[in-house]
Amino acid sequence: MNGNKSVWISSLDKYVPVFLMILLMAVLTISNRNFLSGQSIFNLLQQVSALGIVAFGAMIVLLTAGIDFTAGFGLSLAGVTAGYVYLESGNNGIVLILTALLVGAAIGFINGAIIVKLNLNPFITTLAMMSICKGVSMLVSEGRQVTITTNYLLSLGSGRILSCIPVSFVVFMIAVILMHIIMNKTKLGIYTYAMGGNEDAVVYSGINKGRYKILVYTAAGICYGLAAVITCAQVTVITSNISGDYLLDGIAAAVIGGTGLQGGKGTVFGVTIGAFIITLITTILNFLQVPYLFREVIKGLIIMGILLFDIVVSKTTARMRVTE
Amino acid sequence: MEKKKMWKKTASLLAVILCIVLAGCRSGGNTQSAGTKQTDPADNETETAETANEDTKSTEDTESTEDTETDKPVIGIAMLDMTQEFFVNMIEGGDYAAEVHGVELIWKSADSSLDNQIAIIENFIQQGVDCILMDPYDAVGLIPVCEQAVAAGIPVCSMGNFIDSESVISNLYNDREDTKVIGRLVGNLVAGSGDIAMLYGATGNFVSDERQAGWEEAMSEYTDINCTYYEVGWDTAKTLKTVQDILAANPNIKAIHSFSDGNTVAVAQAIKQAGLEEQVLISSYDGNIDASKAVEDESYVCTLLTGAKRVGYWNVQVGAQLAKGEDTEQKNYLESYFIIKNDLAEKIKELGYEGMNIVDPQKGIELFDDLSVFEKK
Repeated sequence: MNGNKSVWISSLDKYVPVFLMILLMAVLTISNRNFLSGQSIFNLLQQVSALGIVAFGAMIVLLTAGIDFTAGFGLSLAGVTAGYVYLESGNNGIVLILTALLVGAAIGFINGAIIVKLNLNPFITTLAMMSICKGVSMLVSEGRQVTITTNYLLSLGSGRILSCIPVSFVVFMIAVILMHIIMNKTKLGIYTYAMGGNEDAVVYSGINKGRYKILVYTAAGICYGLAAVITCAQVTVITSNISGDYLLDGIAAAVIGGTGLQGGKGTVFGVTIGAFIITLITTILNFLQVPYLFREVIKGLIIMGILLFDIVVSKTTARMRVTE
Repeated sequence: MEKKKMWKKTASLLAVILCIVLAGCRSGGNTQSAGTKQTDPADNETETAETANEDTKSTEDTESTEDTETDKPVIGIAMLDMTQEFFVNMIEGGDYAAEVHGVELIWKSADSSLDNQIAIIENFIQQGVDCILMDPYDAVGLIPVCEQAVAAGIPVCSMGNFIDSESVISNLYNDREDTKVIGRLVGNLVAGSGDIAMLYGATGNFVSDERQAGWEEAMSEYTDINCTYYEVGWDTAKTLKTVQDILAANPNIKAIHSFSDGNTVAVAQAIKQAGLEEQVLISSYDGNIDASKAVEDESYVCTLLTGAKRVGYWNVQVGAQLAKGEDTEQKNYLESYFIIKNDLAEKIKELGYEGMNIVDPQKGIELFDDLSVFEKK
């Protein structure tokens, strides 16, 4: 009996985001039954794809107790650079994908290198890099749009599998599986958690903390590059104006999904659910036609409410474990 | 060990200073020098224009030196933003006008900040430019600095926004009235009833506000139309998501108007994904070449050509007149064109807009790059 209770208590924390996601879906369904339509579910799965990948990038950095502000404009820069190369290569989709991933990786690598080698604060470093990415993406794109014409890229953006599952969501699911393997079965993942938990212990263990930290930021950059490919494929144009709310939404998704800002805590599953939650919040605001002036306030209040709820549940479960 | 620590600290300090300088350069505004090569208009869509994006200071110095050397009047242009395709094309048109009219241009971006824009104009005053053009962030907030410029003997002209000051010339686009016409056309096409959505840029942005106001005026004539408004900025990804949600929440929606061609691409994509091309009418604004093509293939009902290059050319043309000491009207209006297929052109005339400039999509594409019309007047 006590064993079951312990299991239940330790699971409660993990499943709070799932409960919240279901609650939001219930609210949406009650407010507008069209939410349950096939197209609506398709939209939700499609919309969560790029955001979820950005959130993974945010997660792995947060796990090291770091922060990365380059998500939005880094994504932009990866996209427009890939677009420029796409045109020059005669609309070669593979070149576009590889370029976006490389540029994202380069941005992340530079972030990591500066933070590690110069011992600079991630906050300032990535903030400055965000500004650089914004400027460079404008220089590269010159404000122009490039139309995507390659069929498999268009399929990535709006194609369907079994007539109801977006291709981009399948890519996202592959990313989920890969991230789970990386974070739980590889040195990178294990050391990432360790760095967030106790960085000194990592150093004393003889692990090259600097190398793995650079790898973490590089991996985050690759996430932004992949998200850029998906976003451009979805809108069918490559433009610098795709940074949107990815930066804040990505971090919010990671945090709502249980990733601690102090580092060392967070799961791929939690972040996946967090990405769904953030997407659902925006969908609710659109479905309910909330005036824009109130949107950001309401969105912020909902996120804050979710985080407070999470804290209450965490404290309650901690008390219950103590009294056991 | 001590030496190593010292090197580390020095390197860190240099890196921080570099970041601050870079951030400062960004917030100070982007400068683009004049005299850029005029690209072949036919290659506009795919070619990378050779516009020069140089560092602010060195370009300013270059411009000042060139001014002295060539005695060409210098026009300082305080732009709201220089990141959109519209502004890039506007700069191209403006640079071409500068070549034709023998003036030098200094382009600066205020990055959507009133403070930045005021600082830019103050800099222009100190530099002693011959005319100031501005794309105002705030029509009221800029009046004092504009009057300061005029008092210093520098004529000031506002682009696209009416400045309520006798000292300031206003170059205006007929956004409100033109959007109202589109709204009435769409209202007519949906038989005066049903659900419609309008996407606008940002509250407080004059162009966006004017276009939204024109649409609202049109919708007020149709009591059975339920029109909802969504702010999407100039972000295509955000527009896509918003329209996907609109279509999912309102499966019977009849029309969507997008305030800018750059966003309308995402609107069309969302409608296509939902399989609602036959049901949902799309109307747009700005008259980009891609939008004209979309009108041609009937993806869009219409778009309205102001034409970014035309806007740039026309504003600099007026600025050149002012810089050379010539007089202009207090208010000037840019000619616009409805790009619409012939069968729908009749509808506009039926609505009582006989004298409007209505052109077919092919003509719209020609007009987008044709700046010679300004010289014929």
